[in-house]
Amino acid sequence: MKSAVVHTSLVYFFSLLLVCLLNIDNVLSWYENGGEGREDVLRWLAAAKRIRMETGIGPSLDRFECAAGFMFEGSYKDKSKCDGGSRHSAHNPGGGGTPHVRSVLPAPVRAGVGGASRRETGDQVENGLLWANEPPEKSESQLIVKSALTGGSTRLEGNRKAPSEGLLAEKNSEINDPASSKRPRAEGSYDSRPVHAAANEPAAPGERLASVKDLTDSPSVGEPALVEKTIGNASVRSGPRSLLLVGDSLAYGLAISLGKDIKQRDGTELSCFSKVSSGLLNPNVFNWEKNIGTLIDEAQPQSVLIMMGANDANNHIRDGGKLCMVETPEWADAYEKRVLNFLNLVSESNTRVFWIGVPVVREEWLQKRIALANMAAKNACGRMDNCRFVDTHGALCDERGHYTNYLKEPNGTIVKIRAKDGIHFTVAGSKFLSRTVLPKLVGVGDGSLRAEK
Amino acid sequence: MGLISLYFALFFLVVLPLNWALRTTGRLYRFFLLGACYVFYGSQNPKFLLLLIHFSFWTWLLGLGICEACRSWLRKGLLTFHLVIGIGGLLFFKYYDLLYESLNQAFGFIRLGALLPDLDPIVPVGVSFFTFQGLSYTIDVYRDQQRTVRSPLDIFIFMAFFPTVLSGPIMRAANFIPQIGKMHHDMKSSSDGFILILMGLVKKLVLSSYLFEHVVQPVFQAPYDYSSLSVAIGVVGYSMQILCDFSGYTDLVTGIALLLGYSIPPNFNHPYSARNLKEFWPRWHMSLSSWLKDYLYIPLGGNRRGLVRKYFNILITMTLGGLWHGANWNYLFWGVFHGMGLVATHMASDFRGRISLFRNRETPIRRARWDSRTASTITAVVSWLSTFVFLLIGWIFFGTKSLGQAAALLHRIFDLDLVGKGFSHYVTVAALCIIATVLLHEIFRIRFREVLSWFFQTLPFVFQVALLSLLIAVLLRLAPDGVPQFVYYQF
Repeated sequence: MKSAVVHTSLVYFFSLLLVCLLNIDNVLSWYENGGEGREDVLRWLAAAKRIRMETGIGPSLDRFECAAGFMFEGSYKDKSKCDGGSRHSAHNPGGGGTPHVRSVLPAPVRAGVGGASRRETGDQVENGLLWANEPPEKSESQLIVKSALTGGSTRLEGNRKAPSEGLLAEKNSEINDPASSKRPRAEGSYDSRPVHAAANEPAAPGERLASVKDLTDSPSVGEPALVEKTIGNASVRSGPRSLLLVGDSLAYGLAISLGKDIKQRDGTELSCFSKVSSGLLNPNVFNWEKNIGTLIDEAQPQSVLIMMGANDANNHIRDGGKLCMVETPEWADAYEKRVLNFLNLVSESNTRVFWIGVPVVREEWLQKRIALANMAAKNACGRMDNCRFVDTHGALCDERGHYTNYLKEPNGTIVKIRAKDGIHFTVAGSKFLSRTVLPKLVGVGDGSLRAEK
Repeated sequence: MGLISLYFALFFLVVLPLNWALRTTGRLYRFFLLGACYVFYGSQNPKFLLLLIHFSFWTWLLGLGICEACRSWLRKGLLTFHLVIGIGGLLFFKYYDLLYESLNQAFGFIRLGALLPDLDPIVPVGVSFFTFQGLSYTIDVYRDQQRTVRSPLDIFIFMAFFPTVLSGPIMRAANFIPQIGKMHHDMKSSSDGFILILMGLVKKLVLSSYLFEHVVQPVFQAPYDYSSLSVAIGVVGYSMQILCDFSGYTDLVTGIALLLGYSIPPNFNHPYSARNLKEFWPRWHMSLSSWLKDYLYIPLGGNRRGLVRKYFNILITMTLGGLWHGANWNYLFWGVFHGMGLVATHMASDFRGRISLFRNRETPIRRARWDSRTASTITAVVSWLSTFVFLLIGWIFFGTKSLGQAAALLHRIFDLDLVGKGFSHYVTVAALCIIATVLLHEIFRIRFREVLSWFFQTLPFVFQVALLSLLIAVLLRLAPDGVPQFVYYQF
């Protein structure tokens, strides 16, 4: 029996070692995000990475992954290493917390206007491969977030809703209701099939920039042409009267109500591209910096709404060689730089940006971190001409400004607004949040598009 | 610390050799194993750990009390107390929110929070499983005092054994506790363990995740966007996804336990090969099915009090089994649906039994004719197909969040509308291949594990390591980022 035990232990040990070696990128990410990494360990990991490349096993696995990529429909496979880099890769911030992160955008692009590139129809934005089921962050709150979320990217157009399973832990009957599911189609407000005959025509060079320019200078005239496209496994609508909301699971939660409300207000279409557990600091889950350009190219929105930070708040940042721990002023400075860099990438597309702050959360320790992330984002936004920070802290608070699970609707009904984890919100919570955000989206839909500070 | 994570892999790297090194040290080994279990469970959420320790303590104490109590009313009282705290805890965690919201809605004009405090309890992961384990122990002790375990350490380990604490299989103390410190290990169990882990990863990381992401989730979210055929594929995909997810989890934990030298009860035995519901339930989530049978159905009277009472007991057992999954009308409906199906199956079988008795006496020739191979094949196919369709309808209710959503899926399927979105060619081919493979594996009860284990055992050490690591690396490449939690974690 002793030999069997030794055999089992050795097989396990060496197999784990080899698996780690073969997936060294993920191990590196995991180690770096775990906190203050020891330099000698990092050196060992870097050496392991070299071995992996030099032996040729790593590239072979990458090739295998590329070859298998066709089966995955853009949902969760990272084909960037198969296709090359992206136009935004040069903008990776100097901080560069994860230098080994793969680029994401597929290569087959054709030239657009103003340096913008456009992918061929049917190409998809895809996210990075993650080690097993744990994103780099490991705090308790993140575990809770992940346990509440199972969906990948999600889509939402106008008042058409597509729930991410588990996102709205409660009260999601509305989005699951067959009647409500069918209703929009009956009213003709949304159909998944092409609405406009011209929808499938590729945009001519210059068209995109022109459309943004037109909107910038003049009020909306006539009925704008909406184009339905697929980005990753999300379907979005592009056009002069469209908004793109990007971010994490909270963004999706907001989109459920905001999409409906803003459509009712002025007919603006809201598309949402969200990735659960994502943020600017965990590119292994989804690399926003490398994907945002393509997302905007495809969606051609009038304005971009960004809602992220809840996941970032728990991640340390490696700024150059220095590790900035969460809840420190250094972290806030480093995060501000990241946000600023991201806003620069978004601004390349000549759109307005609204950065939507994260609402209050239940856990006090997490709230402190999120407040810091919100502050950093607000500061970064303040340094951009085309960006406005939308403070949502009080949107889901009680009269005393504290976190609450329940709020009273205007008609007196008491509704549950928060999910079990104290971070996400229910459909009802999404409505409250939307009511706070909507009035602050000044210039959206009315064509004025002037950044209001 | 999820089971499929680098954290767990490193944790197990430490636990595995120590488990064997300390095996013969008696109490020290038990402390070590208990510590490992608590580290693992505590990593989910330290607050949950307090609940687990609390319930384990009561389980041990009340088990001892039931054994020592000299009067039957006292024994009964102690058992009742344990049932109250166990089931009460479950009800609190799973149904408090529903009660709170219902009361608030019913009495909304009263000041918020006047009736009940807003506790907003988070359901601790695995609470249903370890509660059932604890209750089964005290009920067993109540029935047979010889089963009493006096060592608190053993009971605490039994309740918190880390491979099974999150989602079962639900173990019985009489099977598990004697194994503590007396584990056996050989090359066969080693290769069995590794192959089971590998199979678990394939099922979860590749098959289940693929179906969920590409077929199930899109269709369940927006059935009216898809054609009837696509929705039907989505529903069949869900039936395979939930099997792969849960049986993959079971394979994984069984493999981990085997490497530690423990044998845990099986949970699945080709359930989709069943030709009726009577065959299905002893094959699906076997540890829960047998728990419900032993501790609910039989105490209710089982089949000992006449046919009507038997049918009633089946219906009650299945309904409660459905509700066990959560405070949701869909689970209730799913339980009742299966209960009614099971009652119908039992009725048919009881009726057939009487008829065949009659036929045996009267017309033996007719019976012989029906026993012909063709007739039995047709009967088998029809029985299997009807059972499978019944299961699919049940899964629609199980996999959706509201009755409305389930109705939408059903409505869309029976629309027979071929207009609507379909899946891309690649996804269709891949999904159909997965579905066909799993179905064939189920129907013909193919025993992959035995063959693969035998093959793995014949390999030299170096090849074993190379094969294992390469396959896992490939699986990780095929896995999605942020693999969804195991479906049964939520229960």
